[in-house]
Amino acid sequence: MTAEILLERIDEYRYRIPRDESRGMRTHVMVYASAPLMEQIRRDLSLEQAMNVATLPGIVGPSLAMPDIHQGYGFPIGGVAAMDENEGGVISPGGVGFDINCGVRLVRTNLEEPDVRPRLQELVNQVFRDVPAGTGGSGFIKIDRKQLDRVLERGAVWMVENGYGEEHDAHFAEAGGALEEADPAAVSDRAKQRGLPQLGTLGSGNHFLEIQYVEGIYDERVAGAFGLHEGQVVVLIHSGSRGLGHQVCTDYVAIMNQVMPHYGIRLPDRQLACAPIRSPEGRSYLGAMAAAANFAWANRQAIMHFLRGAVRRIFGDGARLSLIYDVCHNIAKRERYEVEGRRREVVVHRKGATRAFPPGHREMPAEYREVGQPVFVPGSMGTASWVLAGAQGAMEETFGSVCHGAGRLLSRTAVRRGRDARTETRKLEEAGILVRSETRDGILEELPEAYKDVDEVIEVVHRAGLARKVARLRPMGVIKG
Amino acid sequence: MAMLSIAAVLDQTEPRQEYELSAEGSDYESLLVAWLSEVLYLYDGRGVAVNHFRVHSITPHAIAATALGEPRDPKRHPALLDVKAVTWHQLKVEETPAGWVAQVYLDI
Repeated sequence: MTAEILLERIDEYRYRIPRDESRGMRTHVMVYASAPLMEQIRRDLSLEQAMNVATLPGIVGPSLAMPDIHQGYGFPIGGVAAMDENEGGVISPGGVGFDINCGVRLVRTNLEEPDVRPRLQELVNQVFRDVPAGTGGSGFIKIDRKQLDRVLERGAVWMVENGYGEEHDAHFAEAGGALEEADPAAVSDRAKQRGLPQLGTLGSGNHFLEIQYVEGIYDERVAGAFGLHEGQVVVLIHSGSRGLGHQVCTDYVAIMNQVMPHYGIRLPDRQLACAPIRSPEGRSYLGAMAAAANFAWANRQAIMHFLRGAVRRIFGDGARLSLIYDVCHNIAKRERYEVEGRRREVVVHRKGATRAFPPGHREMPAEYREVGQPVFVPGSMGTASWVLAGAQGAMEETFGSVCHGAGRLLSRTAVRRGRDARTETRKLEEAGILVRSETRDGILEELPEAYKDVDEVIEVVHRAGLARKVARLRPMGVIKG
Repeated sequence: MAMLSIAAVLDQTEPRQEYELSAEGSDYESLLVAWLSEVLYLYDGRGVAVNHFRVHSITPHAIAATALGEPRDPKRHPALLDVKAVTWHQLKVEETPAGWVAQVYLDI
């Protein structure tokens, strides 16, 4: 589909698409991929979308594509772009995505794989009962509109203070589980109405809660700092800001489509709709986005709280669960970088990309400062997930960003074709993975065949010096929306 | 209805209550996104299962309609998956000899 795109191979893990002024590109595109991954990437529109991102006003450095890049709406998924507000830089809600602060948190336990394996079915059933998917209706948390505004302001911190967590949980989340710029007044009543009953629910699609064990350690020192060892049971939670975030994005894409002509912005794709960061609409979106991001941190915090209860019901009160870290992969953040020899503040859009700050960066818990920020990259249900640590290369090349997953290879429709959920569930069971899903198609759409090889994706970011391999995790039990 | 059939099984929905809906857009494409976003909000925000729509007026820039349905009951209207949003990705609204054809992608 993208055969006509001029792609220059720089080295084993980097490709460049030169700036093409006839397409309105303001900069080039840099793609991090191996040759086999690039062959898969070229099958959809993702490179074209990365080129469209390069047309956005105020973009600084290249439009970046991570090795898990695949076609999204407007921005590609796995895309990173930094904008400078002093140069007319824009903010694009589509560059953050509908699921604002979709992200993952990894929880370590004091349980070992051989303790859990014999009681896995019991544990999966308990977690399935205690962690609501929320697709059929509402969750277990009843709050009113005033309390919701506090959640939007204070995220995971509010949840912990109100009994949905333990003391240090919020400390180990990106940004401490709450962005200060949050403005609940910039979030529409509609978004609040959609989000209110959904706090503390997983959602459907690719969201999940996965019970895993540490299959291999690749860096003992860093793994030690993260509290990880071989055979240990961990839980990965993948969810976002639910209907609240989806509505915030819907609202602001519509607003920005209306005001773009006023700012003289013309774009090749209306899903990229944007406004200057300094405009009233841009500021308002950033306040609403931060509020939705806080809702997502609160959501993952509540899910972890319900998980704790479920694990303790099976393994007793001695079962300890602590947060290693919580990272978002759909967000826009104000950060400082050295660009072309100059220190600049930019707004980094990460659409399906994870922040990966290197050792020494001050924006992470002091406990990890010597080893680098934890990064979690979920694979598909039947394969593996990875724990990485941010590396210096990410600061120098990718605005502190790496990949966020394996990257979808087959569309949801394509993967469902000719397969039935019962057979596929049995196959996973034979491989030692128990799956429970609330929705009929939940299992089929997320089968391993639907995704690229996560190990290949990780190899690229590791070899390119963007992040370091720390541990590989194998799934045992999967709870899906 | 096609969009809602992705989100839930709605065969058992009774047209017990009426819900007024309207949408505006600067062109056909933005009108389609606005209308479908209204319908999605009716389902996901107001918790309504829809049986059918009665369209009162439709112009190139506005739609007014009534949705007939009832409050969602997860037992009678089991969820299939979350429809997050209506996107502008490869959005098309065209008049053809066979009638109007629209293409719209939903984020799920």
